[in-house]
Amino acid sequence: MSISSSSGLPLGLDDKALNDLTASLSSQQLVWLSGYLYGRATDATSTSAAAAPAQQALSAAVATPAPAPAVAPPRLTILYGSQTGNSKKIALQTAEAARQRGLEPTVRDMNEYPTRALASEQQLLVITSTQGEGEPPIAAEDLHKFLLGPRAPKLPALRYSVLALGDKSYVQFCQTGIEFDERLAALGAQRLTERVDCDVAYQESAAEWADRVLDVLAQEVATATPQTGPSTGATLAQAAASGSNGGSQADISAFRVAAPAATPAVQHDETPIEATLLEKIQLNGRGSAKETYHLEFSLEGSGLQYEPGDALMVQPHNRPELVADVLQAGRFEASTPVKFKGEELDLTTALTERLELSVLTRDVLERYAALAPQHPTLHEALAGTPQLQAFLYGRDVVDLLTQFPADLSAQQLATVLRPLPARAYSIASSLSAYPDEVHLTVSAVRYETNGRQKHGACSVYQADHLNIGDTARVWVDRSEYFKLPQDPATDIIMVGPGTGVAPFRAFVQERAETGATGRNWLVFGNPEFTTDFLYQTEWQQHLKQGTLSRLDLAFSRDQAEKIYVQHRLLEQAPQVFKWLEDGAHFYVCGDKTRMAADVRKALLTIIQQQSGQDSEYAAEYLKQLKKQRRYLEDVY
Amino acid sequence: MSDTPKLSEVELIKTASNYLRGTLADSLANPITGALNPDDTQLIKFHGSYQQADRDLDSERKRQRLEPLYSLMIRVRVPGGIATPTQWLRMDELAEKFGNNTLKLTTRQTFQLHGVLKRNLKKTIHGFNQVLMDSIAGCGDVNRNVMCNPNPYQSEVHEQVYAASKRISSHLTPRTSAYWELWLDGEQQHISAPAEGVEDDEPIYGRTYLPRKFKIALAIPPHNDTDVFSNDLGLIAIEEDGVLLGFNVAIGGGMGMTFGMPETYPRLADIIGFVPTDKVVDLCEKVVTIQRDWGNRENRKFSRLKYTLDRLGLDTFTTELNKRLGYDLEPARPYEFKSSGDAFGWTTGTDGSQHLTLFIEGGRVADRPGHALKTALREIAAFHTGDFRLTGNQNLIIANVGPEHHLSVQATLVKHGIEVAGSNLSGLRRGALACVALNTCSLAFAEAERYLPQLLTRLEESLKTYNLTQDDIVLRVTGCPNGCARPYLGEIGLVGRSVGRYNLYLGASFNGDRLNKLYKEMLDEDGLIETLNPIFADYVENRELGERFGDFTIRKGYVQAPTQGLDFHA
Repeated sequence: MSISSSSGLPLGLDDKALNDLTASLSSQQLVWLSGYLYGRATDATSTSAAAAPAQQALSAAVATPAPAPAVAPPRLTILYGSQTGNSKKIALQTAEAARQRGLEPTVRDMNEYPTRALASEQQLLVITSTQGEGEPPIAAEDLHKFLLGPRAPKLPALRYSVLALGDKSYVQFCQTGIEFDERLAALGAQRLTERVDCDVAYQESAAEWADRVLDVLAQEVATATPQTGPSTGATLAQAAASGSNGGSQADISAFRVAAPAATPAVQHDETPIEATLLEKIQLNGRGSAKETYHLEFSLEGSGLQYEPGDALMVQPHNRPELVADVLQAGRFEASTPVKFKGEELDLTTALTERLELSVLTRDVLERYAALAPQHPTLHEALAGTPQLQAFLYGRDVVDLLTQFPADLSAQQLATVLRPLPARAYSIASSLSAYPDEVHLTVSAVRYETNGRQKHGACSVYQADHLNIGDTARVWVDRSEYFKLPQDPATDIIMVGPGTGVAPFRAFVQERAETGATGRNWLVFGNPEFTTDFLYQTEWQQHLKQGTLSRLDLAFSRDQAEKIYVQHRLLEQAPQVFKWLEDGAHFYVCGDKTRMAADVRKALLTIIQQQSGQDSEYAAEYLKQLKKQRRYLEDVY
Repeated sequence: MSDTPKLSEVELIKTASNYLRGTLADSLANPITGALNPDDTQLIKFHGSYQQADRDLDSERKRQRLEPLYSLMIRVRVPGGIATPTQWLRMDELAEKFGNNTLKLTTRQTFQLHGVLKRNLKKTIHGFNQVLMDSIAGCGDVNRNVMCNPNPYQSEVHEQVYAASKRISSHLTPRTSAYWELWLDGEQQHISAPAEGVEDDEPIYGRTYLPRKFKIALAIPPHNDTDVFSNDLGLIAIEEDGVLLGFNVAIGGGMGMTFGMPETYPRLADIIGFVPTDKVVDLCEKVVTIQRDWGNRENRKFSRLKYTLDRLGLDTFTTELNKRLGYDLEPARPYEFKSSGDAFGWTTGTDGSQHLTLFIEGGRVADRPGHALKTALREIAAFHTGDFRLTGNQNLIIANVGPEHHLSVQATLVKHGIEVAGSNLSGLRRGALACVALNTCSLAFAEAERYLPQLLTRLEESLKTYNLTQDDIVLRVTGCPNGCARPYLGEIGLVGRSVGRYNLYLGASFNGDRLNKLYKEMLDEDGLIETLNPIFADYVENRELGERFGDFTIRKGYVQAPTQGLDFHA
């Protein structure tokens, strides 16, 4: 940014001084600040008539977001625990919405949040996701442990509300959010509003939660403060940013503005586009037990942008065979009209394009059980987590309708089932290498349970039904942290067996295209060398050109004893440790339950061995790597 | 123009290889690729192996971002073609464990395993060695497997000729300890294990080995089943009352040629004299070393002994040979070859032992539906007390079957659907040879082994029409002109030009002493049948008593009889 000297800056406030003052501010903070200054400049009744020196005003603005009204409002902290960046995104949007209401929020990342600060919080909005089987995101681990542990302080003065992000296809849905919520209550804190649990498509519920809790807070401020008119910086900032002329903001939601459906592309990358499939290749050689596809979609003309590390959301259609099975199992008429989310559709279309059929979740079972009281088994399954897990495993909607028949109408079915969610795939390409394209590496999920062949809804949609020339509905899901290091000279170690190799293809392409000087080390694994070495010839080329420095391979079935990626890491322990000591980032992508856990364990062993310290030291070392965002996972 | 010869690429690789080591150890340890370093693909041949790829899958795998499906063919030397039941069982097991679960019996009496992945190569070679077999010099610019008529029914003479072939084989085996080092972990017993404190040395070959491959075969008249004249050095056994006196020496045979290069050609060996049995090993060494010194090392297309001879003249060569021998070869003795094929079914030897010659289509020992040949032979090997003999025609003799096992051998074969006498087969099928060709041979332009059975089925319709089904006619098919199945010695020779197209050669003799000649080019299957049908008709109608098909096509002028390699293309 450069400001012309002809703009008449006061003495001592030149370009450099302004830059120094604002260097640490984020773009959002800068936007806010510009609004604030604009407000100061245009509001004749402002207290700034006293003409405090500009520098003083700036410092004040940066330190405390707005000039204090007559009665100091309670502190408002928005605290997020984010793995993929969604919680962070919501936190920032919530903060923006708060400012629009004249509130002065501080946004904090749990990753950097000193646990002792908790005791002095007054109003706390907690936004956190849940990982896997109910674990907190890495960034929230410390706070979570502290809060749930015996050292947590009593918090009678605290008022709070929790927004929990999760995925209903997991049994421990939103577990971390639930734990935060219940524990804060147990420590004596008061709920501002009830906790909201969000499924994968979180935008709408998150916006509603934010509106509700912020309205409560804004109302309190309004009643406690004499009406001084819209004179706060925040209000003006909003006016400046949105181009509207202020007025009452209570009913304006930042979320509604940002929500894809409401207005054109505020976050362009999250707007679905119809992408044409350019190429589809089965990557596994003949005789492989695996079935992995490489897909190339065209982004031409869409303006859709992404970075290596981001995921592509793909909206599947259910297989026609599965839809037919559902119709038959429930004896539904294919063309029956049903209402779904305010839309009138025939049942076949709803089943094909709108409703989840492959995976059963707790909420679906609850709604179904309520309509089928004649099946005690369903109610027993809902009694506890282990029973529920056992019941849901491998069962789909057809199994449910067949094994526990209930006389549902087509409309009831549409209401019982959950919306068909899009699935996220780690992007396997770099726009620098393939402008206007996005590539995916998709493993077709097929298995047999309950005597029926089951298919992964989205993987098999792409494997079997999406042909070259067809279009699919896709959008980008930004990854906040699983990104290449800022510094191109930083080394990276990438552990990506199976389809976990996808983002690393993007990473290496990007670093090759941009001439990054950091070394790239890939550890890949799969069952067999001859058939399952995904992108083999590309890696060979990268090795030859030096854009891949090391490639270690673990083919589990090529010898009597099973060798996996963690074994290769252990074999290379001195090198792994040396790279880490030299500042390397360590990435893991792929299977969560076994692989990622085994890799973590191997890494702990390596750190302990190579440092000559104990296991506690190793655990702390790994924890620091995580906190510094140098140990990053994209696991599923 | 400089007089300094510009050595061929392979010569440079050999020179730099430190007695065939090259970077093979690194190649084997590299997990990123199933291939060897490019230079090592030349050196691995000396260790008995060719790097190949499944050509059927090349374009598919390229699209799949997978490298070609590389594997190694390993050729196991079996001097004289005789293997013990233990050795047979081991080959059977290694084929299943590391290969494509088939064994190829080659036209040079060796076993070939196909489809061995790089990571399993060492274990496989290890496995041979444990049963006293090896693959060293299976391929490469050295003396290859020494062939010998496996004929067990002339047992006394055979014993002596076989002994000579083994002596020749071991005398000409490379001495480098690279084989022992790379494959046997420098531990197991092997001829290549170095004596303490002795540096690597190749007393016969030198550090650059021969300019090109070198082939030796021994034959016992009247059988020419080893096709002696197709070898660089052919030795024809001369006996008197069951005692081996020595050999007629024939030099300069070789099959290979290159399309579009008329200066390359197949050539039959010339008989230059007679050598007594006790001097035969020395004679072999001298022929080999003259070729070592005189052979062309600039252009591998002209490196074989046949070109050395035609370049310098037979006389110049024999003069040098006599000089190096220290004596003049005696004049050749009379002999007579009657056939180059195998006779199938049971026979009894002069010592009363029983032998069964089995027809092996394309030399491929495999289990196929209703025809579990590999299983049958494995079961037989488990009780058989005699031996197994690989013939030069890709067939197998189960030799010296104990009288108590005669019925079990018979029953085992029948149980697995193997026709014992082969009498239900046409004469054409029984005598047919095919090289491996597609999908693994990198040189092939066209199909051979995989295609031969179906081509024969088409041809058999014609034979039936002309009532020639039981006539023995020698048919040989190769996928390229390099000559592995000795196509230029077929009464009908088919040499692949491109997929589905063959050059048709006619007129070789039934006993392997006359080359055939090009009759028609670029025929597809229908074209072949249409071309051959009138000749078959003519043959049935107009052949003289006992006249062979090859001789007939010459007499009737379908082709001119070639007198020697140089006029092969004339």
